[in-house]
Amino acid sequence: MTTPREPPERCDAIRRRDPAALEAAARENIGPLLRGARAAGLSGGDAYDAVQEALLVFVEKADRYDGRASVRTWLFGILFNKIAERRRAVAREEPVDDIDAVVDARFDARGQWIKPPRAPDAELAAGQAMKMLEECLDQLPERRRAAFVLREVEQLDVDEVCNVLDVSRNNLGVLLFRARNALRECLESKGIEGSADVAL
Amino acid sequence: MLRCREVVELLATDGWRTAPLTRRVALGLHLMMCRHCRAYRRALRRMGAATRTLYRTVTADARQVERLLAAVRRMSTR
Repeated sequence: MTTPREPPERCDAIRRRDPAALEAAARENIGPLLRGARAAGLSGGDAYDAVQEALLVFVEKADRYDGRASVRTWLFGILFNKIAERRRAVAREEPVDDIDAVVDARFDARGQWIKPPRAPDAELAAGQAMKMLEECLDQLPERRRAAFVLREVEQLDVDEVCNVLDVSRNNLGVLLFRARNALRECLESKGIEGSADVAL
Repeated sequence: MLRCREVVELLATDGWRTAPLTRRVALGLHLMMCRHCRAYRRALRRMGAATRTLYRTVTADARQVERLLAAVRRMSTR
């Protein structure tokens, strides 16, 4: 699924900096932007400030909106850019990471499972499990969590996420691989598991 | 025949989305035959769904929304 491109009239209105169009675009995206800020590790007043800053940059630069990306993707780009700027450096992914070794240790030399996964059972949405999920998400490095949340929660397509986080397709793959495997390992270690052989 | 380790790579990186058709077919066949990889895929799906539920509870309260929109209005009519 991809976020819808904007209809041409709307692009024009935004480029003209039509106040009603800008306000409508802002209104629609406050929730997603707050979640994005949260995924980037901000909460409370810091998240609110980052969202406000992103919205104001959006309004300021609206005449340069070219309609190639949806407004939401554009806004996410501004938000993550601002957050990275504030932290002064975009943390690059390390070439190797502990989670890579953890995943590798589950396979034999021929690439077959020696330690098969235990899937979270259907109860993951229940209270206790949600608490554990939140803890595991909080442990992820920010950029991995941001990549994961933009894909899974905001459901941006792969190219849009690359755009927003300013990473290559390969780099995004690494971020997602590490986020998903670290989350899964974390949940499994907390004992959220179901039988591995339940039919789909 | 795809190896389990390659299946994990394709699923976790989202690489399957841009993989050539032959590789996607191989992935489908592997998943049909391998319950462990099916369990792995199921785990990823459930994590995604649960994270959606969790994050969708993050919303702005009405006062915050109004303050943000007022800032946007001030800026856009400037």
